[in-house]
This record gives sequence, C-alpha cells and structure tokens, in this order.
Amino acid sequence: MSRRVTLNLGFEGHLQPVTVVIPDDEPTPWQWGERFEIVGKPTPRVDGALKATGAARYTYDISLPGMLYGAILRSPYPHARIKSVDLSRARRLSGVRAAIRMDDTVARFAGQEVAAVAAIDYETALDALRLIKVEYEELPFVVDLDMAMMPGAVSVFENGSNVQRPTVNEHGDIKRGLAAAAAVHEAVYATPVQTHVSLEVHGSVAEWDGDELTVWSSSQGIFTVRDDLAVYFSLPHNKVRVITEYLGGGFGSKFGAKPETVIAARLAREARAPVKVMLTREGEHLATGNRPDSLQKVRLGADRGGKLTAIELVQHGSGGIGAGSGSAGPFLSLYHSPNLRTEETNVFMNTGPSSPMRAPGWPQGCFALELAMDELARKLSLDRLEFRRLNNSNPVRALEFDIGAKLFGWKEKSAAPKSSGPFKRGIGVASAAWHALGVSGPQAQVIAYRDGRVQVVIGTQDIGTGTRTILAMVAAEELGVELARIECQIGDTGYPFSVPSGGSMTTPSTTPAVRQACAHLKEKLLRLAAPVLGAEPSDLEARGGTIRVRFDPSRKMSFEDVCRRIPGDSLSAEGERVPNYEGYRKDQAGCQFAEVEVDTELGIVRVLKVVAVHDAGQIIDPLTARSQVNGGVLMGVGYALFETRRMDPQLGIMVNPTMDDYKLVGPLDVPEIDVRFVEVANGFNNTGVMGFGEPAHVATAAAIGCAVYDAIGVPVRSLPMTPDRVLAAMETKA
Amino acid sequence: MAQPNQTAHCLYLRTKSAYFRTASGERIFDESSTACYTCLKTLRPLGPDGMPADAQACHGRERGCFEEDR
Repeated sequence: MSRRVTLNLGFEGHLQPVTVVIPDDEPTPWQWGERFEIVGKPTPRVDGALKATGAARYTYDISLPGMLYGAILRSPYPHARIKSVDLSRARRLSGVRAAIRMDDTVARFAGQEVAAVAAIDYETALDALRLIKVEYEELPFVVDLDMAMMPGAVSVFENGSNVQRPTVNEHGDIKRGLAAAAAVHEAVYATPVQTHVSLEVHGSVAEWDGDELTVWSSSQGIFTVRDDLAVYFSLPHNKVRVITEYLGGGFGSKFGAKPETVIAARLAREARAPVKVMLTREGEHLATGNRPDSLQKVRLGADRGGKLTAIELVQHGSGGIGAGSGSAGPFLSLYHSPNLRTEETNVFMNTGPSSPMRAPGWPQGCFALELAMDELARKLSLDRLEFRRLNNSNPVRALEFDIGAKLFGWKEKSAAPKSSGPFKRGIGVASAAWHALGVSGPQAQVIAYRDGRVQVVIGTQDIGTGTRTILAMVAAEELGVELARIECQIGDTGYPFSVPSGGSMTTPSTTPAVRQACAHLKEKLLRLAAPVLGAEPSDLEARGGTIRVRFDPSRKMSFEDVCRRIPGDSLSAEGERVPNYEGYRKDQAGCQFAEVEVDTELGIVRVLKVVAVHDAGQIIDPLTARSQVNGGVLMGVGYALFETRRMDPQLGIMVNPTMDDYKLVGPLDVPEIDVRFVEVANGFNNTGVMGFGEPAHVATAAAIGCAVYDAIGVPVRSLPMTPDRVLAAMETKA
Repeated sequence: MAQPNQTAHCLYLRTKSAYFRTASGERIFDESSTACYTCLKTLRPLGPDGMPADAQACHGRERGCFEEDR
C-alpha cells in the first residue's frame, strides 16, 4: 500500500512542489522549513566523553582471556615465486601456538602476506616470524607507472599486458569541439599514490566456539565482514558474528574481510584460542590499499565568450596489482561541454593493491581539470570564477559560488596587488560533486522502556563521523524527547541489518530506517496516551518531552508517564529504509576557495584559508557535519602538499612506510576553515539527508593547486606541490 | 554509482559497490573505472588462476575458477 505526498523540493528561491509516492507505513518526509526541536541544532557527540577519556572500546582495545597475538610475515620482494615456506622452526618456538602460510605461489608486491604466527605475546610472535624459512625465486618487477606502460615491460600477471582495456565515455565530437575553440589548453597533470593512514590500523580479534566464529574487527562494514567470513569458511551466516564498537577511521579501506581478518580467524582455529592481529603502520602502508596515482593528459577548448567547446581526458593510473585508477568523474559532471571524451586506463605494477579511498578518483580528476580550467581562463583573460560560472552544470553550485565568493572575498582578493617580496599570495576555486542518496536495506528497532529510556538498535557502525549522535538526534526528534533519553546500540551483526559505512551512505541510509521505527513506536505510545487524554491517537503529537493534544497542548502527559503505562517491560517497533523516492537532483554540489602563501625563495606553500560551501540535504547535526568537512579539507591539504608513496625503483619497495617518513598534515599546517551549508530539499527519503564525507574532500587539493598557480604565475602540475616542484616550476617561468 | 549490472558474478568476487544491493536484492557490480576488485578466495585482486579479478572476467563459467553465487 502506498500514498501520495507533495513535497517542496529544491533550494532557497528554487522550490517547487513535487508529488511523490511513498509506502503507507513511511512517515511523512520532513519538509523544507520544518520546525525542529533537535535536528539542525549543533549538538556535541553523545559519545565524545567516552572517546576523550579512553573508555570507548576500539578493536585495538579488545583483550580476551587466553588471547594470543598474531604477526604477519611479508614478502621482501616486489615479485618472486614462493617456492617453499617452512614453518617448522617457528612452530617449535616456545610460546608459539599456531603458524600458517598463505596460499599464494607468487608474491606480486613487497609487503604481500606470506605467512603468519600466533603466540602468547607479540614479541614471541615476532621472534617466530624470523624462524620461518621462505625460499623465493626473485622475478623481474616494475614499480613505476611510465615503465609499466612501456612496450616489453615486465608483466605483473603472466603473459598479460600491464595496460588494461580503457574505459571510454564520450558525447559530441571532440575534434569539432577543439576546432571550434577560440583557445585550447593542453597539458599533463600527475597525482601520487596516497595511503589512507587511518588512525586505527587494520586488524581483528577472532574467537571460535565450536563452529561459531566471533570477530571484533576494525571495519567499516560489520555485515560485509560477516558475509565474507561466512563465504570464506563455508559457514552459515548465523554462525558468524562481527562486532565493531568503535572504529578509528577507514576512508574506504575497511569494507570486507581483508587478509589480516582471515589470518586472525585461521590462526585462532588452529590454536583453539582467540587471536588478535593488528597491523603495524608499515603493514598498513604496504598492503591495505591506497589511492592510485595518475597521469592525466587534458585538453580543453572554449569559445571567446568562455563557453567550453571541448573537454578531453586521456588518463593512465595504477592501482598496483589492482584496478580502479580512473579519474574521469569530475570531467563527466562538473562542467558542461557539448563535446566530451574521457579515456581511463588502469596499469598494473608490482605495488600494493588499491582500495576505495574517500571519493575514489575524484580528487585526482578534480586537480587536473580545475588547474587546466585556470590555465585556459588565463589564455582567455577571463576571471577564473566567472569562467566556472559560465560552464557550471548545477544550479545549487551557482548559489554556492555566490556564497563562497562573498565569504572568501574573491573580488577583493583578486583585485589586490601581488607582493613584490618573496612571499606571494594566491587564490583559487574548485568545484565538487557527489552522489550520496543512500540505499534501501537497513532496518532498525526502537525500544521504549517503562522507566522512559529509549534504545535505538541498528547494525551500522560509526566510521568516526558521529553515527550514534545522528541516530539519537533523529530518534529524539521523532519521539519528541530530549536527546539524553536515547541510547544507541550499534556495531554488532546481532542487531538488525545495515549497510557498510562507505560511499557517504551511512546517514542517508540509516536515519530513515530509525525515523520510521520511531514513528511506528510513537503510534503505539499515542495509543497508550489517548484514553488518558480523552482524545483520538490521531489528534496527539509527541513534542517537548510530552505527548499532547495537537489543538490543545495544555492537555498532555510526560513521556515518562506514558512509558509507565507500558503493560510489560518495554514496547518496541521496527523500521526499514525503503527505496529512494523520486527526488530533486541525484547529484550534490559544492565548491571550495583556497588562499595560499608561497615562499618563493624556499618553495614552501602554506594554505592560509579554505572556504568550503557544500549542500548535503537536511543537516542533522551541524557540528558533526562541519567536522566532516574539516576532515575532508585537511586530507586535501595533505594530498596537495605532502602525501606520496615513494618507491625505490631499484629494490621495488616503499621507502616511506612510517608516520615519520610519510608526510601528513600537522597542526601548524591547518588553515582557517570556514564551512557553509546550502540547505537543499532533495526528497529522496524521509529525513531528506544526503551524505557528504566524500564531496568535502574532492575540491581541496584542486583549489590549492589553482591558488599556487595564481601566487607564482606558473602551474605546478604534479602533486604533492613540494618545495622542489614549486621551485622547478618557477624556474621554467624564469 | 553507474547503472548496476545484475547478471551472475562469481561468488568470490568483491568490490565496494557489490557490498550494496539493489532494491531487489542483487549485488551491484557497477563496472566503474574506480572499482577495486578482490577475489575472496585468494584475498588478492586476482583469482586462483593467477589472472586479474574483475566484473567482466569473473562473470560466467568460462573462467575455470568461477563459482556460482549461492
């Protein structure tokens, strides 16, 4: 059964009524201009104190009686045949309880897991690793993108080319578009391999009880880890339980059962004892995934008025022994051109496999496209922001350009004369987009107890974005109670199903299920209150900690008094996330402005300020929302200026797999960050939420790249923009 | 995400989008240029036959190591 509701969709000044069909048991979606008591108000995290005091339990903190500690032996060679693995001496070491080898006969990157042991303590496990004898036959390797593409290059996979079949997207006629252009810009842009560097490394604690497996995992998808383990060990899904109470980040690298989780479970089965395997930072850098690098040949053409006539990208990138290096997303969606062609080619090499990383492909593509846009704007003598406005593909972004430009002072800063001294300031702007509508599937249970407590139970996980807070706010809003009354139970596959926290899907996928469950619970509570208040349930509402008569709010009962009328111990209701309705727009817009100061004598870039303007549908908690944008911007500063995986071409190994050598943003590198949200009524689900963990990261490095170009008058076309690259670029200008 | 390809893929093939399902319960293999594939059997981006795992190669019985999704 379904019903029709009319929603005002769009954004300020561009709202229009749209009739959508929703299931009968779905609460009426929150509307544009809805008056909330809790939603939309800055709210500190409900578990902030637990995290700050160390009381929150991460996988790293799990300790079980009789637990053993696992360690992993990794291939020192980038390419080698594994002729034999002798575990016997390791097994004989006192304190060692289990030893296994991986099934591979070939190591294809330095850092690939070869064997593992479990022992009574970690030091003994490390000693045991040294006793494992592996006979390798070294093979030729390639760890450089250019070399991997050369004819006759070493093959990563037997008898196969490293260069995969390209993915091509096109419309119009790119040759005609370039011929019609008044100005054409062509250049090659390069981006490095970036690793995730989650604060909590990958790892799991595994414990068997007969044929039942329980795993505490540092994972962004408890159900996906459960399902993977069930398939791997040929177990029914109900024999596997996965728990992630708290998670120290994942950024896309912790979706399913990764090698270390399977290793923990295999060791635990052999040892008949729980085993904990947490990776070292080095293991983390080598083997748990990364953002692929890229070489992007870009050609843009525009007419005299500044309208793009052609956008072309020919891209190569490497996900190591994996795929997924494409970067065309921004080229396909940020700006309109009647003629467009993108060609993306993944190239294999003997380095660790890629994995999804915060907006896969987009920061790479955005950097190349936006810097090329600036270079073309300069040829056309156009203001760079105006050039983007002319070609912008999204009406929400047009408003965001206006908001951001005013806040940033684009006009004033553009007109300011450049310093004649060694410190040059520059400004840049870049666009972002994403598509985080959420998906159906999640289910939630909400329980009201006789003492007035309310429990929200859902098998999602908090990747660090404040999931407990968000869900509690939605529940408190729907039930009309104070936030402190809500307790969220998440992070256990024993709870109702939810989807992994990735693709910016968590909030738009889970909040509608929780809200629907709360709406169903509210119906039951209203029925309890109705006879006492002498009204029909349909005439009652839950607001301000009471259940009251809508047209006579003086007739009311406190929420606690209503709960005391629960006949048993508790009252519960379920909800589910239904498929998306027909909404406003499936894409989300954003833009970021950056100001930098470049020391032209030393080549050092400092980011002074970033203004980030994004839409995300209905904002539940502006504090956690802002926190996500801050995180996205900081990750972007690191990508722009510092982060890169460095490979030794002679040895084929990563030379900076530590926190000392892999350069990250530090406290002194943090710019002033000003965040603004544009409220967009998108109408895809009952809370109107869209996710934005990823779009907040898309544009930052690009905006910084454009600002550096503005500061020094010459583009730095390779990331990271390290001092040597900045100085080299300036020399070309000289 | 691009339009899902809902035809049969190997039981062991994994990629981010395939951890989500369509409204009718199918795993989503979007064949995006940013998709990172893993074979759950080998825990690597390659199958037991030593060749790369991806949505096209791990689809259908032509590949010797293919196993039907249960």
